[in-house]
Amino acid sequence: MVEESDNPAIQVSQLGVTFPGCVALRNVDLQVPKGTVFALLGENGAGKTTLIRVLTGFTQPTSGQCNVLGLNPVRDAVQVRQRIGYVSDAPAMYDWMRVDEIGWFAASFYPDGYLERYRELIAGYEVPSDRKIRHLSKGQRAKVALGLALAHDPELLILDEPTSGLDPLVRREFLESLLDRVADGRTVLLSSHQISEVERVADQVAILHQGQVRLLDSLQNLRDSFVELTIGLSDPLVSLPELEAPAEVFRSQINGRQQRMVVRDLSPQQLEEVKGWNGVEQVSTHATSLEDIFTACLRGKQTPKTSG
Amino acid sequence: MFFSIDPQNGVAIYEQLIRQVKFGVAEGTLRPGQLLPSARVLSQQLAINPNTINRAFQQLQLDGVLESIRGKGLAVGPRALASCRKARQSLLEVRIREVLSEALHAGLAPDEVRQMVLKQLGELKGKVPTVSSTVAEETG
Amino acid sequence: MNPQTSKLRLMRWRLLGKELRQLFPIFAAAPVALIAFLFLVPTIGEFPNIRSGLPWELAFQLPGVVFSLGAVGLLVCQEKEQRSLQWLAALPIPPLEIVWGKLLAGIVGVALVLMTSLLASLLLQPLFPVQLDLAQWLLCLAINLYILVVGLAIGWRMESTMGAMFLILVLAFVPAGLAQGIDYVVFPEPNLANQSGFYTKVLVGIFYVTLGIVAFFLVWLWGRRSLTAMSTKNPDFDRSWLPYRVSSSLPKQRHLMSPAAGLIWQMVRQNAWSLMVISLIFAISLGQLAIYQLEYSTQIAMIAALATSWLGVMTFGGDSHKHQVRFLADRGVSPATVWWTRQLVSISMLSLFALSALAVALMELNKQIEPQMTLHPNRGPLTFVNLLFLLLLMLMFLFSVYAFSQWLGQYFQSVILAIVIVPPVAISAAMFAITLFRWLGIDILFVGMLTIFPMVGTWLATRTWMDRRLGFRSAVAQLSVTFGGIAIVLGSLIAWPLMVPLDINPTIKAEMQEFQQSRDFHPRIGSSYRPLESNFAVARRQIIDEESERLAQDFRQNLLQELSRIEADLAFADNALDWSLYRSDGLFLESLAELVPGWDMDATERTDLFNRVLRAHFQLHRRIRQSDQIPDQDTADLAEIWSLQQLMQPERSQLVEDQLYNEMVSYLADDLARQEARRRALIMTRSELEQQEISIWQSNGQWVFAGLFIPPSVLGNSAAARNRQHRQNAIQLLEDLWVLSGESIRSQDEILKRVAENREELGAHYGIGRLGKYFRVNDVAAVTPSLFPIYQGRGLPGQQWRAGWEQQAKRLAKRPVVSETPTVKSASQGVQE
Repeated sequence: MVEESDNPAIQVSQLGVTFPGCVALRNVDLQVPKGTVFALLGENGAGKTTLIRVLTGFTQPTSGQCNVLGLNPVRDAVQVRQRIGYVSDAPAMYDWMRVDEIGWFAASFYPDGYLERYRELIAGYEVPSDRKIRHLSKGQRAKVALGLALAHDPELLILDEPTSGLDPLVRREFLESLLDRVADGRTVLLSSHQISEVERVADQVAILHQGQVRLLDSLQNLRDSFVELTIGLSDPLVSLPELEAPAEVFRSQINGRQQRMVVRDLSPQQLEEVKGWNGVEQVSTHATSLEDIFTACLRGKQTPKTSG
Repeated sequence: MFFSIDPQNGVAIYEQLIRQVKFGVAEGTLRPGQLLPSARVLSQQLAINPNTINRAFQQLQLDGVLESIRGKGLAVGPRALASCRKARQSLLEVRIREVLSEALHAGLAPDEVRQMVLKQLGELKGKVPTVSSTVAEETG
Repeated sequence: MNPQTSKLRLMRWRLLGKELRQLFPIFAAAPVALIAFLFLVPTIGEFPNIRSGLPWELAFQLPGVVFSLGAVGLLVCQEKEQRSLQWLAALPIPPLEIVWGKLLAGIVGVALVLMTSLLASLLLQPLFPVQLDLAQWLLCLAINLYILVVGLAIGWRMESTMGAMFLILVLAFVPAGLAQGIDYVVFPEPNLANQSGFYTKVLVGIFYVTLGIVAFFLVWLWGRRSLTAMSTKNPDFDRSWLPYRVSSSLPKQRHLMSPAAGLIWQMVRQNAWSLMVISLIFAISLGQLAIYQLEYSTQIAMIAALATSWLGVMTFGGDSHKHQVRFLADRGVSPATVWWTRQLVSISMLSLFALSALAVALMELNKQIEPQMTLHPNRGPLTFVNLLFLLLLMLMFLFSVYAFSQWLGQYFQSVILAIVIVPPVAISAAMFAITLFRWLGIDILFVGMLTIFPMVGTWLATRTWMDRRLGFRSAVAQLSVTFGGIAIVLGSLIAWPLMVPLDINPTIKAEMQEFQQSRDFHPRIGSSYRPLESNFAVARRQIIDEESERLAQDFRQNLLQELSRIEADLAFADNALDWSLYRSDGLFLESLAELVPGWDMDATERTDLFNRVLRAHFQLHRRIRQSDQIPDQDTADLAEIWSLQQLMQPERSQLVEDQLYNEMVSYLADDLARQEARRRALIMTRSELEQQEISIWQSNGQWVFAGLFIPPSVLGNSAAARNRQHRQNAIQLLEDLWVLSGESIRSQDEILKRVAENREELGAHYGIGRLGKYFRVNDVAAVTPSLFPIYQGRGLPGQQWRAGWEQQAKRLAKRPVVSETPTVKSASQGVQE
């Protein structure tokens, strides 16, 4: 159940983070409603990890505010981290502890019930509980990290590229765990490169590029509003007029006598118009996958407007 | 019943689910009164967002295909068969329309198209299994 | 040349280059260690009660040891930690080449570092007095090579770096200790001291060579094994692919912990090996304390400091290692909890050591304090307080080392380097702080204040790691807080006295300092002016100019009052002589007599005063000589020598009034009375022996038996000899003296010869010594400094001519009596007053 409650799990407004010599985040606005899966996409260095570090209180923003579960991560970082489940990329763990031991150790920091749930999760993931962590494979380590983050049933899960470098089976298990949580009404903020996975599970998607939010919308809207337009021309040298607002061209490629564009909010009238343009022989539309949208967004020639 | 979701084929995931449920009912794979798995179980099976599944279920309930049984979940409604068949029919009509307009657009004459259709129908006769005739026509 | 050979050679060079590059951090650390040791040497001497410091040569040779240990860590332990062994094994070189390559790189490194140190010691000769002893440098080279070989063998095998380092140190120094132990057990007779010394050296040599060969073989064996077939017993074996069988056993129920308990469990489990090692080192230090008490306090303190430094490094070492603290940070564990639980574990261990040390010291002290001690009645409680103070000081020192170590340790990513570099730096920093405080005259216990800043530094660092990662800014913040804090504290402590200058007449100040040296013997005068060591301490009492003047006047008044008091005491002939008082009184009078001639006062008054002092002194030491309660002939000897010295200085003897002069001269020349007194003393001693009123106690590290100081030259390795030995020897000697005392005394030389014959020791002189219970040796300098520390700075008056001063006394001529007051012309017989 998607509840549009008054308080979103995460609220970020006009967030900016500047390090000496580089602007990591700029004017970021977003809201993550409770009970949804929010996907954060962007290429390496776009600012995803920085944003997550701000949300978890590991980095101080230079401007703007943010709010996680009603708490201010700048002031109450420790509290925030106690209430959420956070899996960073390459999570640090005590190599010398056994799988069961590390759960027992982590249980000291959480209320009752942690250890039982952890054991259930670990049994479900089929990770040997008496083996030392340094002797686990990468996928098993990731599962242990996930188990540790889920065992206290946090209202908000923040995952920073948790499945990078893992085999498809493990990735599938991660997804299943996530979705299990969402079914209970928990919120998930997922930063990932596996766009095909994101496409299956995201409710909302934000694409970050060079520290700014380029696109922010529900996955459904994105799918509905984007279209791939292929125009067959009679003459390669024909120059086509620009499409007027509200349509936005995110990317445009020319190959011989064909021109292909990724367009957003193309109205049916405009489509008819295009068919009637000079030199246009054929027009076909195709649905875009999230990956296409992502590529178009990042490689597009025009600077698109951001939308909320 | 097995669902297959392809997030990339252009159709929204929830829409795919709705269609597959309706087709399933129309085909007889899903019988009236049969319980559907919960959103949670389905989301685990298909690796898709339970919100999406819930949305599909909600729509199906509005369409009268599914109804909620207290304490058990969602089951196929008794009057679902007719509406699903209708839905399937209209979907297929849309597809046939698309094929035909593509053919016409390619430059084929209507007569040529008609001949092609009849030819194909002839070749396929008897070779495609239908929904079993043992399935009783629904009453009411 | 065969291309394969040349290729192999190229690979070897490349490999050597790679290993040497890997050693770069420790190459960089060697000069740091050198500087630390150069700070340590002079400051160690300032530690109170330490009599033996570090020689300068050692400061130049120790960086070599630091390098060897660090090299072992970087060459082998780090490879295991970073799991790069697999990568190494995949190189197209025979694995043995790699093993020998590491050894060679280590040897080259050691040679380089030692040569550089040698060069540095020669270049810095004008600054640091170093003696070039090639044999010692060669020995140093040998030890370093030994450490390298043993270290590589151990490193290939052991998981825990700290454990490996400890084991290496143990194997480096224990054989020598073992050999000494064997020597001690097998050769208890100190007469065989010289021979046993030789055997010890041979034994030690055999130990080291054997261990070295075994280690060399193990390097080959274990190194090869680590790089080739990874058997399943090999701890580096990658077990991740082992199939998992679903275990049917239920996980055991565990009691859940609170956050603090969890953190403590984690720290102790993670550092179990290190904690064990540190406990062992502390135990060694305690053992040494039990055996040697404070005689080798340098050694004890340094060993404890090493353990403390490793404790400090370990405190946050587990967190900085591979950023494991992020595990806790990600889960919202409060940095405060992390910080104080870490400190709790370490400080508990430190406190445990402190309490154990106190217990050990108290136990040893109990054995020593004798209730019937007539030696120094104040000695009992005074020693206890001294001991307490010393232990408190040691604890303060250790705490500073701990605080610096944990602060420094946090900056190191790799614990391996930290273990080797932090101890020298932290220990010398702590010693430097203590020395600085002593020079400034600040109470050393305030050193504890300085350690607050490194602790705050670690607090900030922990918070930064866990809460807000400011990166570069936080390091700057930390450093500025730490150094800023230290600067403020030191600055204010230095600045304060500048605001209140103290201006005491320098002459009087010098006198105060003279008396201060004898404060043990004259508590009333000496100790009350102890703070005069520095302006600061006095400024603390806010003495202003008038106060200073008053103080100066008071001081002289005090001296005169003291003189009057002594005269009053002597007036009562029945007064039983209190050993402590008469001894201190005598020294007081001597000091006063030295000073009075220089006082700025009316000449007649000055002369009168001088005579008063001299007369009092004369009466006092005559009484000592003739007392039948306290047979302290030695003190009487020295007093008489001093009197003689006074009379032999023309400008002094002029001051002495005639009557006194003649009395003194007669008395000094009277040999017979003196010998009679000595024999009486001897008889007294013998009877005490027979009545078994014998006690053994230790004073200032020298063995004393029944009040007898037993110098090392007579007994061999006295420090290690048992009480039993001393007893036997002393009794033997007294037997000889007793025998001789029965015979008529012909000449001193006769006596000496007879005793020497009896004891088979040529050239040893015997006589009546301190308290009349023992003897003096040929080499007076060897004995008397320990007998009379007060004379250390001055030079013993009778040092050169003690044996013949009686002759000198006879040469003193009596003055003709010119004054009206009739004086009794004394015969050469002793005059009894």
